[in-house]
Amino acid sequence: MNSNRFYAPETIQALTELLQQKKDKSDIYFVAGATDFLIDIKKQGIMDFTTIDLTHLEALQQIETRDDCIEIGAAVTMAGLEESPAIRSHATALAKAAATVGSTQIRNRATIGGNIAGASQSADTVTACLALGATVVLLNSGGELRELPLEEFILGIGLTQIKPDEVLIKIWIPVGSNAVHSGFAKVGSRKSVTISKINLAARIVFQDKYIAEATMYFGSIGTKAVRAADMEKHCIGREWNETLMAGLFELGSRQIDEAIPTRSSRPYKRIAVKGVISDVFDDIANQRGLI
Amino acid sequence: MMANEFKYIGKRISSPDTKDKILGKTKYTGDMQRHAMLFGKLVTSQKAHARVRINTARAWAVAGVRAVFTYEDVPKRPYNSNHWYPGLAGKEDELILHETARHVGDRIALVLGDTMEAAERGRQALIVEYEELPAVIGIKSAKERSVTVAGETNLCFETEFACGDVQSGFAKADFIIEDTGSTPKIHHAAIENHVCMAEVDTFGNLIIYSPCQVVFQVQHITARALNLPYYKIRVVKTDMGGSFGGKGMPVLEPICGFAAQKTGRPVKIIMDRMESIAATRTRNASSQRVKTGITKDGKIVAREIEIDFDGGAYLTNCAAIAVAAGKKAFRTYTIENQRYTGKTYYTHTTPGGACRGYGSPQVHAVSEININNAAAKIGMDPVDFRILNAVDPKEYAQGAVDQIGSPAIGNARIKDCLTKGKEQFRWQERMQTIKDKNSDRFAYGLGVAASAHGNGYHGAFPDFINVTMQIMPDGRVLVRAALHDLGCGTVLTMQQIAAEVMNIPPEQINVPQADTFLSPYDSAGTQASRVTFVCGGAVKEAAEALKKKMAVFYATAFGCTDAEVWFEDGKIGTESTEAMDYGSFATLCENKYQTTLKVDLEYKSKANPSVYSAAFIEVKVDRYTGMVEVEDILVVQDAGQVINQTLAEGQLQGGAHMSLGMALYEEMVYDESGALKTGGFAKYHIINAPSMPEVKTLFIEKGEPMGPFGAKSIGELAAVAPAPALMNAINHALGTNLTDYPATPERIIKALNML
Repeated sequence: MNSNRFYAPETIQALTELLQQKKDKSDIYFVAGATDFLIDIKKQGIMDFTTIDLTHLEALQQIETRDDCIEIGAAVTMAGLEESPAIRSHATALAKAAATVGSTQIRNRATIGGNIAGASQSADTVTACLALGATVVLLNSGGELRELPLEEFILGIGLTQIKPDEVLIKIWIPVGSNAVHSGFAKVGSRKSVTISKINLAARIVFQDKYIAEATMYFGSIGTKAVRAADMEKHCIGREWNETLMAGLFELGSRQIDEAIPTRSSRPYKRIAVKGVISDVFDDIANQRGLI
Repeated sequence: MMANEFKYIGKRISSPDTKDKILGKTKYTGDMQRHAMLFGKLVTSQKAHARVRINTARAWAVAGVRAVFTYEDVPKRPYNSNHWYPGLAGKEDELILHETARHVGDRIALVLGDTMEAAERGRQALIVEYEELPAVIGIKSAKERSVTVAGETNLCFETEFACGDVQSGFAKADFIIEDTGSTPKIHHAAIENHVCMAEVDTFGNLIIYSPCQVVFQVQHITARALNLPYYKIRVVKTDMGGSFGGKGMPVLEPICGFAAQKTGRPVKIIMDRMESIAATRTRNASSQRVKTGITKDGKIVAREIEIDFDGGAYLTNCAAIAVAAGKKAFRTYTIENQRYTGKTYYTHTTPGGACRGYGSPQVHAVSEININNAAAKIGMDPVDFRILNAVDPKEYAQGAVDQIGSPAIGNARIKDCLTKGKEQFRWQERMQTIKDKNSDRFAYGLGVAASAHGNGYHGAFPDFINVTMQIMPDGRVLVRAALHDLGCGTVLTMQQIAAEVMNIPPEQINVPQADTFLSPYDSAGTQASRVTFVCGGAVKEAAEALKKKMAVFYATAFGCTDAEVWFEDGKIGTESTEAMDYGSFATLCENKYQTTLKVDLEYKSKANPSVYSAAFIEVKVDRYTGMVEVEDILVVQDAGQVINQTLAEGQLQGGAHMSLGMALYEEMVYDESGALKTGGFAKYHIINAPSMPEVKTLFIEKGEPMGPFGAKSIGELAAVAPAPALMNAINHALGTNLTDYPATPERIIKALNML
């Protein structure tokens, strides 16, 4: 009576063949850790389904450092990101974000591909990857690759540009000089094993003491992570110090007011935003040896 | 002090079941298998108040589905799941399955299948139509009376306790301090969800296997619901993965028994977490007003406490919760003029039930914040203020009563808890320097709270237990009593008590758990903090009687006096005769005197003293995010005499976990329509390991005259004081007056914004 099928392709070719099958079926699901999937099928009462497990493709489990970018396989786990020296030094925000997802058990199974393709508004690695200017690489049933900036890839809660015969296989994070720093922070209902009520990731490029470039994203305050454009602008040409932080507090609260004007969570989030700004501030100051 | 004289009492002995639990070897009810067993899936209402129509045709057609039951199929025999014995008076208003659902999670159908999967497919195939009716959600809505859950009014119980003259008491006060606050509905969060297995044996007896707290209650309720003779119902208490009161009232047992009887096949029903949260029982929510009058030198001269409770959709414990909470208001402080008013209201939410502490967490929640505010009013230290007003121990006298006529408080050591705790926590020193730690972002504070709880039902309901104790031929001791180990070490506690008297290692004492066919009758089960004090007292008395009997037979057999007989490590003898092990002596008695070395005893509880605790907390609060970190916590508890140091410490730590959770996160939230917004652990948060502080513990052991070896209750009280102590610490850190539980980050930021 149980009609579930389970595939675990080990080669890209096997995967593309499965993509051809998946093309016109709605009951085929990718799993790459299944930490969301198990919850979803229980919630929705789904009992008949086919799964394609992406964790047996070696190519999807690698983190490779290239000249201009780090290439992360979609099946790299949160624990893998957290522990990777390359991610820790060149994509600190992502290492931090991965380290705050769920519990140890979850982080040992949950993958970056699943977190991104799931496109939750609270997905911690999405906020980090957006700030880091990530590009996603999709594979289709014809074996063709499609590259897309992450910002374009994610459309809303659970919504992406992915087509029925496509699968997310890689994430590219551009690598910069030693003057590039990034940080991440979140606030949930408790210290750990918690879903973000608000998270923040920042990528800052310094020129001497001054900020030359700033990219900042807030997660969990809209249907997808949003850019903190006013905060970014405010940083340019300024020093990374307490005065700057005070300015960011004000702009952060204002952005919350504008992002969720009618939500009951606004009074809380407009203050809590100071917590994530303060944590990211300390994080980057630490990296710079400023405190 | 006394502990040194004991061989087994007070010692760190590890529980015999611990290793199996850690290794995953323990067999729980969910692990039970039977040939041709059916798996049951309960169908629960998605609406808070609705007439339900269920089309079962499609479910019957699912392969592997063996039966579908709705309200049409079950006996229309109402029962009250709170009735733990037939002598209770409350209305019986619950059925096995309901036609009109009264809360989200109410039982409306049962699907039985050959496999879990078949049952689940059957459940999905049901067509359930709801004709929605207006719902009463929350105490405020219940009081408005625009809709009633049952009868003319939603007020389903009302009580008052008073002493002195409250009005003239307040007239004498220099200051009157008033606070209002609330506590939420709370889920017990036992790791094992509700589960039950039932089958019919070859004699036609209905056997119910259940991780329950009171086998005779399950028997009584099932007899009521199914119209069966009591003696045809055998209830076996199974190994349990936690209860905390949640498995006190039968929820699955009557329906599981019904299904097994009806189908003639063994039936097992396992709930998932969503069902355990919505469809079982909860700690009653409360809405409170506390008013205290004090003199300028810190004496409390009058107090008034009014508490409204959310009783939920069925009558269950609506009376008991209001009574139990109220009595505790008169036990910690000497307040000559005091009045407590408790009211319970029906609502269209999950019914109330026992939950560790039974009313004590509620009655101390706001009153202990109010005590702090009273101390602050006159600039007095909150610990000193409590010591000044706390009760003193009372000499035990038969029939002595407290201020409102309940049994006397006994050797009440709340002052010791406060004094010793203050010292060990370095309260005064910390108070002077704590604010130096503050930064723009983080604020630090200290909090204290005191609390009281009881020891059983004596003075209110029948509180007795029958014990049979027998020496087996192999020298081991069998103790038959309707005991239920809820995971807190009841069996080991009884082993240690019996071992101490019998002078035999605890592992030689066998204490099978409750079984209505094998255990002699017990009046009240494992609830109300009665087990160590009452059941332990019974085991001690039975052991003493058995020893006495052995001495008499030995003296007769060997021609000496009873007084010469000694007992040592499982051997009986005298100076001048040869020692023999208990087993050989039992066989000797069987041969020579045609008797069993056994004692049957009906033990009636003689007292119901108070137990006390004080919690001391240092807290760090994030002014930006409203997140709270407990930096340090010390719990001091007046235990009389600890039976097992390790188990006792575990109770204080686990109790603190629940209590701190009540102060910070735990809350069942219903929306206006009665839908449960915190239906799973993704939304219903308990404190997890990274957020749980190390709980330091200290016991005051000055002996309780009527308790076994001086022992009294520990486990329930442990879940009371940390919550208000934490609220007081947060308020001290921030200068707020948070009185609504839990102090979520949102509430903390809101309170800061209002300063």
